[in-house]
Amino acid sequence: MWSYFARRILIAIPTIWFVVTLIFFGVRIIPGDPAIAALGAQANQQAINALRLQWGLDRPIMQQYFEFWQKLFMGDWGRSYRTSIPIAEMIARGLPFTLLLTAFNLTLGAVIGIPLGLFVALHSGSVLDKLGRIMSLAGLSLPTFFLGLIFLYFFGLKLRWFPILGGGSWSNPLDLIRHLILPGFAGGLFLAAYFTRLTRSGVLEVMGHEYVRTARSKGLNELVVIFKHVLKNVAVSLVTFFGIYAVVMLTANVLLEMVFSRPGLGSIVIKAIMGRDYLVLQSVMVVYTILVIGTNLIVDLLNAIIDPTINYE
Amino acid sequence: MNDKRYTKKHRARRLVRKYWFTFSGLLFLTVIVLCSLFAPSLSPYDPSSQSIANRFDVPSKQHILGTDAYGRDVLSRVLYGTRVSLLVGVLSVAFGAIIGIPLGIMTGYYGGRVDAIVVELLNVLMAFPTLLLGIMILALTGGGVTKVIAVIGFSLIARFARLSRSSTYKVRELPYCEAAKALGESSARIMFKHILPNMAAEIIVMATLWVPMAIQAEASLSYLGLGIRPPTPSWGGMIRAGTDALLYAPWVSIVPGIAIFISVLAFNIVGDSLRDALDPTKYGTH
Repeated sequence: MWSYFARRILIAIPTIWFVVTLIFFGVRIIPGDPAIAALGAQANQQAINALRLQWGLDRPIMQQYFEFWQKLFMGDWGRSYRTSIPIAEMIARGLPFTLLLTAFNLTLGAVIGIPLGLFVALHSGSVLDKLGRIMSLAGLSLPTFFLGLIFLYFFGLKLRWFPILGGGSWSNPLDLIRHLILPGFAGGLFLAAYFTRLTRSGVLEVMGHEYVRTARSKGLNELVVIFKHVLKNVAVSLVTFFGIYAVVMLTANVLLEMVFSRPGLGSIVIKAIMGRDYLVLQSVMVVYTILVIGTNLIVDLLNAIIDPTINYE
Repeated sequence: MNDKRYTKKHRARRLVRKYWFTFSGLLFLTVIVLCSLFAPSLSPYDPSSQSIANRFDVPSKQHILGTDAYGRDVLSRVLYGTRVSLLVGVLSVAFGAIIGIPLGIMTGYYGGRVDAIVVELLNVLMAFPTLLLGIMILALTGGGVTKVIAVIGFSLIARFARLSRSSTYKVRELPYCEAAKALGESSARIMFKHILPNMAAEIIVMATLWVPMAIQAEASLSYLGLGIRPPTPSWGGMIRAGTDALLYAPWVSIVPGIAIFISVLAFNIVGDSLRDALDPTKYGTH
């Protein structure tokens, strides 16, 4: 198993290298010049030269590439062209907000979706099952940012139950939670719809297996059969799913952060795009890449631990 | 004769009652397609014509769904937006299918080292959510319908390739493929005449479920300001344009949002029902 872990980690490293390299060259092949793109067509040559010097664009591309990696490891990610704030500092400030929102979305999705999926699976074919199917299909057809906007309108602007802007203060946990409720539910309900469907189909599949019938014929309590035999086996697919949607939500939260003006990574990306702040954009994309590949790696490893049937070869 | 007609009517009614869910999805889908086809005739106004005097008009007899910040009719813009959404949804799925399916079939059929490399590349591509890929590419190259279709379609290549690769794996050892090989048929003929038709149903079902995904991706990218460029009406862009006026003119954002919801739901219902028809135990993952 350890060699499997080592191999997965070894595959993740070149993947990160490959994608980060693509991002690096992607930023530099913008039609024209990133400095001109950032400053706009009206900028004079002096300003363009100064920015090119600041970003190191005057040096040969391969030299820039090696320096980029060197600085990446040293934690010197440069400064924002717009605000002059060190990029590493911006990311360190934004990342916890993004991670908190994603964790809240996932927890809420699982807490609502898994029991609901189990419930409709146990009542398969009934009116409740049909209702569950319609509700879950509707849930995953609603874009999270639109649901967020509806929540913002009703619970923020009209009823004024929750704050509508910002992410709250870390020194005041209650404030942090109040800011988390609306975007958290917007993403969480979307995930709950998926979790319901996945749990239902997983449970129905496992219920048909011989070992469940054997467990029942032994006279085991139905609750023991469900929790010990059925849910344990559904867990593997749920973990994989959890990982896939952790990644999806990390990026989908760019939209929710925009709706609620939350100061997370998504907001940094949006501001960087608007201000053509390519160094910031490049750095945040690198962070997203590491988060995406890191999450996939953790899910692979968790699966290997939970699922004894995984072939380590 | 009358009896026959009664039976037919009766049967049809029973069929609709049994599959009312699927029929409702099909009905919505038909309405959406008709709206996109006849947008110019159905729209009461030109979607781009501005009238500053009519800014943020509340829904009324003149403007059934109100007007936006430039006094443009929201209903007309939503109807025209149907075209963009369907175009992006269908063409990006077609783009992904045209490249992904042959790639999947060929790697699955031949196997070997190329297959292993392609699988690793597909895993990398699959690991990246469409939205992240879209932000990365469109932020650098700028938006527009063609680029949005290319970006979403590109991210769908991996899904089609993986699906068709795994189906090819299952099918290639079956007796009829072996028989075709023994008869001396060429690999290309076996792949596209024998293997492809065998997996067609599965591909169609998944494609139906990926169209709404593509529609949502386009709406998200346009909402971020990276997708379809204004003034071309796109639902995501319309929601974005209305957010600043949400308190006093909520219809500007809410109407296109409902349009996205209905069209995505219609595709999801149809796709889900198709999958049910293939495997009734599994409404669940896509």
